[in-house]
Amino acid sequence: MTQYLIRRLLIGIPTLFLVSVLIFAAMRVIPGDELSVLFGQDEGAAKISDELREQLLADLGLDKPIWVQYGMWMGEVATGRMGSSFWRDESVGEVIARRGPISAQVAVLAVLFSYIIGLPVGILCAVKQDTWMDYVGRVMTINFLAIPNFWLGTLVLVGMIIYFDWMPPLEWEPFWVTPWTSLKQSLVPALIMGSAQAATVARMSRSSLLEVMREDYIRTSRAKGLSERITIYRHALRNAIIPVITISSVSLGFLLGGSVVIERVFQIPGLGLSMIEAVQDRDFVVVQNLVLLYAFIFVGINFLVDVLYAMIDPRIRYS
Amino acid sequence: MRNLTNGKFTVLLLVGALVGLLLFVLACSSSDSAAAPSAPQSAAPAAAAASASGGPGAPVAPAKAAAAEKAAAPALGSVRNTPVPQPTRAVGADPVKVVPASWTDGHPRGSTRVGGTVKAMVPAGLAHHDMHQSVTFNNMGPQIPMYNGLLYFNPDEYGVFTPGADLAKGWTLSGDGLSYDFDLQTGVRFHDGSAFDADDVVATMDKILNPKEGVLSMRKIAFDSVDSVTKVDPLTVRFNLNREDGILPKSIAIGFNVMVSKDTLEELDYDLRPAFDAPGTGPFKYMNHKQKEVWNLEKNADYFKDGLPYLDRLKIFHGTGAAAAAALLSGQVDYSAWLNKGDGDKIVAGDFPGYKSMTWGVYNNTAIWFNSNRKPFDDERVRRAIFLAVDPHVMLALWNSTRLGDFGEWVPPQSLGGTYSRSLEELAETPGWRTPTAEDVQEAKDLMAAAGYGEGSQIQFLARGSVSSQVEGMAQILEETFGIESELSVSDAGVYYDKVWSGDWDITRATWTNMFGDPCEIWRNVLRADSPQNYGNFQDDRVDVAVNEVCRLPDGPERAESISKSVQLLDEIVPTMVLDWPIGQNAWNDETFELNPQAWTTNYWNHNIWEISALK
Repeated sequence: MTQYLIRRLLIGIPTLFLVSVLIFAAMRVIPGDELSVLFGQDEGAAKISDELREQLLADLGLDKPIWVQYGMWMGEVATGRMGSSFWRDESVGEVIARRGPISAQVAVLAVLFSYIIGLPVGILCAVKQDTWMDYVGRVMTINFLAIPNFWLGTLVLVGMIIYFDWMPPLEWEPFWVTPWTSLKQSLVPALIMGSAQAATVARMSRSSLLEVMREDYIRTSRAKGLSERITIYRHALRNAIIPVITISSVSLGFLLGGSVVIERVFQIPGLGLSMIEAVQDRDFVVVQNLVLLYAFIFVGINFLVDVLYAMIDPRIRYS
Repeated sequence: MRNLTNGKFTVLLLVGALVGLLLFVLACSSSDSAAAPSAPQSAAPAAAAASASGGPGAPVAPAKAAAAEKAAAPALGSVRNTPVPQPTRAVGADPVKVVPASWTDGHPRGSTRVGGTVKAMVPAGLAHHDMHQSVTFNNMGPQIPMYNGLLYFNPDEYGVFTPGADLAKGWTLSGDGLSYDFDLQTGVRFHDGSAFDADDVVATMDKILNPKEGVLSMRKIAFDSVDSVTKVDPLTVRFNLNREDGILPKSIAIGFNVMVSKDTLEELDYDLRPAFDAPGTGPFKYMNHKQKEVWNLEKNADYFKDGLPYLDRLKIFHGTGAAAAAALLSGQVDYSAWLNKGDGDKIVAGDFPGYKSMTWGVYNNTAIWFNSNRKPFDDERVRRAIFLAVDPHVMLALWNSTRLGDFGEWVPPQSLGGTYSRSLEELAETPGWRTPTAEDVQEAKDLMAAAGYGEGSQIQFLARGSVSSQVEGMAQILEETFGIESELSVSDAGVYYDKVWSGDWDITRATWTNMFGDPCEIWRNVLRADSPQNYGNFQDDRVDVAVNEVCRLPDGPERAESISKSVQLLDEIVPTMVLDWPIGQNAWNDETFELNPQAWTTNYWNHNIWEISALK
């Protein structure tokens, strides 16, 4: 088991390396003027001389050979600074340290909501299979799977502004400073993000639970006279939840990446918004580092899921 | 640890091979793209001199009556390499001293509330912090409260830009019209406690006029008449000109031309891009900020204008459009700028009691540019043909379908109070500016045929994605009228300007920026061969001469005549087609915030209005 886990960790390294190369290459081959943000965009732009352009590109380090640029970036990643943004007055590491917890807070809350909402719905649908409760549950889950969360978020935001004179606060309160205020700020966007995840959790848990409930040991449990509650929650659910954990854990990674849209809608100053700003500004360094960070999170989460598997199900022992 | 299985080793080998292939591809592509997309070189040195004619220059105060010998105007033609003209003011003409008013005259008012924090939402997503290198209002919002200029514009009348006193009390124009002496305010200190004096002005202007390698200077073109700025004494600076400049005080009053201390400039090697807290002299001092989120500024208790500012703090949030409207209407800010079309209209309509809204000219223009380096648009007959056939009212309507805009022409009707612009009634009778008549269309077709394109052609039409409705409308008109088929290429700003500078296009729709709507200021930025915003690389000596003449003359009948002739020339040769003048929409909470609407309509670009704003 230990050897397996170590191998899993080591395989993550070439994965991250490949991602770094891909995103580094992508940033350098996409069309567009890196300097357009410097001399105006919406209001018009001004011509600059070739000499000045070369000087500005040199200031950004873009005149160096590709492998030198890549090596310098990797060196910055190794030191944790992760490079200097082209256009920000802080390093990428500082951006991540400042905005990362905000995105993480919303994403974790979203996953929590997905369980709080999705698991009971899924259990109810499975236990009451083919009843009106099951049908309603399934229709709702399909709806929330189909509805794009940016549309839902916009709808909720507009509705709250119009009917409750509420809009997301302009200044984000850090959780460790004012926890309750911070949680209130995260509530609505986390609910929006969690809605589609909740639907996924509900459907997965329903189908998984239905499968488990047909097992012999469940029939035995009932035959022994155990209550339905104990049969479901102590015996069936524990086995049924394994695939649900897999799905929702991977979803956490998607939530961090998919938060781009919700952060834009709700003006949450998280990493997703940083990504949008960096793409618009052609800030290579920020984009590269954020993509690498997301890849790292995905690799890490997948690893943790495997560990969690083994903890939940003693039968699972990796070799 | 168990050894890796053959299968896993193979996978790793494949991954390594893929990575190697990618690096090889990158290395090959980097050698091709090593020459970054280059901006077209300025084809000719800047036009060195204006034509040698004209009278004394006195931008604000009337010149003393003095006989002036008028040199004959040179024939229209090339004026490059023309020697600097001799002084044209009458021998012995007296210097003209001007002591302009300031928008802060009469402040502080006893009736105005002192203290409090105003929250505003404006575009504040600045990419760097050097106002001299910036051409975007994103710098204006958070930074302008921290600085002053020598002069700023007084909000006397909508669209009329009268330079007002700020760090300079006034100026004296020399008898020959070739130098301006500015008298500086006394007792001014920067936020770091250092004293403000002539050395700081000289250093700042040197940065603008002679930027160091790797440093941009977006307003350098506004000072092309200035050879140098020198110190006369600690409280007097002299602008030494190579020709008369009728609008120099206005150019100085552009809000981006903030004064910074010499010590700060030297410390930062004259590049303020990373300096978010470079000390200014302004009414507010930097506290802290989170980039693209919020700027916190506090009152400068040692501000040289006694009793100002009224406010204790400013909180500048970044945002525009729907976010700006939502932030205002939810009570989180007192003032919002750049609302979407319609949001401000609803406030005006009374849908939100207690709130007020206003519109204001953005002082940009949008236009169709022709690539003058390529056929068919190197032929002025082709350009004029299109000019005659396209209905500008249709173009404006297409713009107004999604944004706010007003009718624009060579001198926007709204600028300078309409002093130099043709009336809408006159334009309605002028070919090219009116809805095309049958005669206009026939003339257009005849011109196109005479140029050799009577049977139609194909062109590349470059567009930015957000403005494609006008582009599509234009393309349709070209096809229906002339049989010109347009290959539309739509892209975002970064890719768009990349393509513009590459020159691989025939026609495009672009926006140019100007600060106060003066014809000299607009045309100098756009129409001269050396203009930084001459997207189409248009070059015509006649236009250069005309622009330089307009720039040389002070406001008055002679200038009006020069502008009128220039406009007629531009109508003939059509370097570009002006489409509209965008309009911005701001709004504020009238129950909490005391705002001078007139000031804001004229001076968002240019003005430190926060120093006389207050809470109610």
